[in-house]
Amino acid sequence: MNSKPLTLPDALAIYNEIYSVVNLYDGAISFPYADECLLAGLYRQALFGDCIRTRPSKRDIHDYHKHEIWRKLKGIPREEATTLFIQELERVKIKLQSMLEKIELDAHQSIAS
Amino acid sequence: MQAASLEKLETARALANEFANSMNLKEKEEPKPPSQAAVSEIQQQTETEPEKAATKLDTAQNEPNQQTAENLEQFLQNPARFGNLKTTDPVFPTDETNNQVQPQDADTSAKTAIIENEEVSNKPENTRINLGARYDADERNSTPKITAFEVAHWRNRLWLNPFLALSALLWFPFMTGLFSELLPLNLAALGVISFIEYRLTRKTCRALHTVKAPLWQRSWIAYIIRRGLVISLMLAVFILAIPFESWLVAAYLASVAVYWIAQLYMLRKRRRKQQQQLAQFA
Repeated sequence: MNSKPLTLPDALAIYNEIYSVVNLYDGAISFPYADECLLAGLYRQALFGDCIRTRPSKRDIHDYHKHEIWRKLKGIPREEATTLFIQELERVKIKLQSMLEKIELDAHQSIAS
Repeated sequence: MQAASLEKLETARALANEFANSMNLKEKEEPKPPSQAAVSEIQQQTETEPEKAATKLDTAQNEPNQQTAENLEQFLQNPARFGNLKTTDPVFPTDETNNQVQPQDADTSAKTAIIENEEVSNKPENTRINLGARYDADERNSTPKITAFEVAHWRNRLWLNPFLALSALLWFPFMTGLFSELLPLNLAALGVISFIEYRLTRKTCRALHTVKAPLWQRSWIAYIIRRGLVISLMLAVFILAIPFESWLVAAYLASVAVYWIAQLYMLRKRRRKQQQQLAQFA
């Protein structure tokens, strides 16, 4: 069976779950900034299509970066953007899982020692 | 999957890495060493796990109904305790959270209770779940600074805008003798006038947009195109109606006169109302 999420809402649920898990660890790990921007851009491309929004202020630098990424992705069809978003999400999820496992392993080792 | 899409994705990824570099938040290869709090938490988990497992097994196998009855009894004795439930559960609970033993469960041994209390207190009270995908397409910088009544009032008034603009934009250059033999000069003059008018329209109408500015107000070019369309349509109407010119001019003048009379009537009505109110409050 294919366990990958097939629809955008499923992927969004996983996205939120990853965020909540990262927040629960509260500083021990952080969501990689580059991946965060890339996922946000892909999500916007998948949901709204090409960027026609005016450029946000540079004072909100996070929003600005996400907007710039979205503009870079201009021209990708929404279906493909959805697929790419899901692929990227899977990659980030695996990366964060490995980071968490490493943290827990280190913690157990320090307890044993 | 098209190659162009993948290429764009790679470009975007490179840009994202650049942003991360610029923010000095580049993802670290090595995760942080576990903090003392995390170590002690895991230690506590390993200590209490057998007890939790035993409790779970007990409640799951033997008497689920009795468990519910106990909960109900506890609730009847102390409803305030249940009213103060935790709100820090994640939106999409993981298996880990499902397996947690709640404080009101059957295990009432002192040691477990203390540890659980510590665990609960270790968590932040308001865990703010940052939904990374949040995006409000309709967000705008300015909030309306006028009341809903004033918005409705201006909406009712502004339907005549194209007619007024026609008067201003079409007749004003002729009246001031701005047009010459040179087309670029004429276009420049029209551009300046329309730009001023565009700025005025933006300034006036910004507060009226409950959702988003209409397309024709988002850029000067769009504004000019719309104006051009309206004016050319009106001109077409005038040209097609040359045989009935006198009637058309009469109708146009009559509509303008009716508009101004209506405005004067409204103004007078408002003045009267204001004076009545002043007399009332005096």
